[in-house]
Amino acid sequence: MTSITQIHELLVSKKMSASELAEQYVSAAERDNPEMKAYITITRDAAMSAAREVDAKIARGAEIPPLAGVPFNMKDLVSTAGVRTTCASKMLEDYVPFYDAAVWEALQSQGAVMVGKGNMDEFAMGSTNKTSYFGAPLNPRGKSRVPGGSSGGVAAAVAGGTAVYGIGSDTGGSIRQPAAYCGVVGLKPTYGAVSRYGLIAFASSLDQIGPLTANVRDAAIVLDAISDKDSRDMTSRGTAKTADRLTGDVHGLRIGIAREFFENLPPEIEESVMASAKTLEKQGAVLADVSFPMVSYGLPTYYILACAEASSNLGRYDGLRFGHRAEEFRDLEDFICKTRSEGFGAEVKRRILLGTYVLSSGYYDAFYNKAQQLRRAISNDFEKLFGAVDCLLTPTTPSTALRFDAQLSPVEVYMTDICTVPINIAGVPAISFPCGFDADGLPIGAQLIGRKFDEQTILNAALAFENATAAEFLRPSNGGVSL
Amino acid sequence: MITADGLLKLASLSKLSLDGIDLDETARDVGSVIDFANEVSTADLTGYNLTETDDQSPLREDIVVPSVPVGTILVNAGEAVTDGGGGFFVAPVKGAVK
Repeated sequence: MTSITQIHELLVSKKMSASELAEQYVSAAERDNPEMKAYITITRDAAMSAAREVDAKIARGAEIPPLAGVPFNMKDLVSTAGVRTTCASKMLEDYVPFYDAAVWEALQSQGAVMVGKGNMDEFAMGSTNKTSYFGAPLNPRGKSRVPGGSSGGVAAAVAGGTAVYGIGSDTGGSIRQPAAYCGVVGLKPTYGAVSRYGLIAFASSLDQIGPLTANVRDAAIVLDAISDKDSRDMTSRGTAKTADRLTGDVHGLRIGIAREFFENLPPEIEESVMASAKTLEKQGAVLADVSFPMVSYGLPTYYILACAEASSNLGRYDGLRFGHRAEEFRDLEDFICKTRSEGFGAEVKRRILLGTYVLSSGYYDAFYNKAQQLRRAISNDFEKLFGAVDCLLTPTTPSTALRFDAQLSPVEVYMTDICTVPINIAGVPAISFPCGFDADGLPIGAQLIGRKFDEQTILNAALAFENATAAEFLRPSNGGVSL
Repeated sequence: MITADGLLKLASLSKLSLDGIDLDETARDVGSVIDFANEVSTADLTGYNLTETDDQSPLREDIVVPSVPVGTILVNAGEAVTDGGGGFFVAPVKGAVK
């Protein structure tokens, strides 16, 4: 996989122009997409136009930012003015925003080149990408496998070489889980590190935008570009710049290993993650056994809170102001019900129903209120742990990429997020990085969890692992661009 | 568990139509997710301070800022009326839309 730094060097040394690069990546995306489906919309004209602007800047002798001219994939729930933004839903199949999300403004100011809008689970609800209205993308590491979700198309584009990096969103693991399944790096920043202005909402208290990249340094570069305080998202505070302070030095770093995250794991995942812990220990880190007993409550807590917020957020889709509209109906009430039933897929409807249930009179205290109490308890547990250790190391997922034909119940699919949801509940940052392969050659991901607004520590530790293993787990796949 | 009647009530509250859907099967499906969510009832939170928070609600000045023109807001509407600088969405009622 080609890195952002490699591309930057190619451009600055004038070995390649931004236009040549854009042409290669857009052409590769157009060639691969009928089968791989990593993109919902490919934006050739806009990409080439952005690339020409970067070339003009280089020709003038101006310095260019690190992301200038670097082709990337933007998850299709980030609003892009003039470019349709579908959320992988029939409901928004033809929706074209009239404004840019804050993260897209930030990337455009760097001269970023958007190859297109990335495939995803419908409204970011899913862990396989099978809920996309536009068809599921394939995993470049094995085409019979799902790429994970919900940012599956973004991860697949980076792993498949049709984008150098991607912008995803993570509500319960939607950056880290597909990153693990596709063998790339995925960073879920602290809640509040990146403005959510223009991000189409799923669960507003949990949603956070972040990068999927070919390596750890690239994740730091993208985070620095998109993280800022934004008055249009009152939860945003930005976070400290990271890339220039990356050392890969973990001497004295206290890494907690919470056994609860390792229960019922396939042996090869446990062995790979523990081997990565030992690698970091050899680099000077100090391992400590810790306990996180609330892990098992993370998933039910998450599904109550996320679905409650989704049932409220998705109330806006009534067919009146934007989105799909029913053609045949009896009256206004019937129009709204039919519009929503036709426009939403089965998983979205299931979650709206669950959210409505837990918020309804008679169930609110037992479900929603209890889940809010659990959110506080889980956050308290993280804060307590971070008094004793600097970060936690866990598996990212309890399995490698699932087969497309796996017959699983909704709850069994939800279980793939068991290691990632507690992080969103507490609002802390976490990074997934490749740390091994299973017997089928599929990537295994390890997850480092840090203190709020301390992305630096987990990026440093992940970089230390990458350096110590000579990036042997960051492998290119077939397809895409090869420079 | 949730019954087929309970599911219909839930769908009504959710503004979803379940026409043509197997109610018993969907009730079992949604019921299994509700049962899963109900695991929170077994959590013992004794000893936790559930009121402390390190988060501060940020506030901003109450200042009027430029807004989006009405005509722009109406661009994605299925049916709307625009007149000069104003306009409005049209809500379909019985017989108003095919």
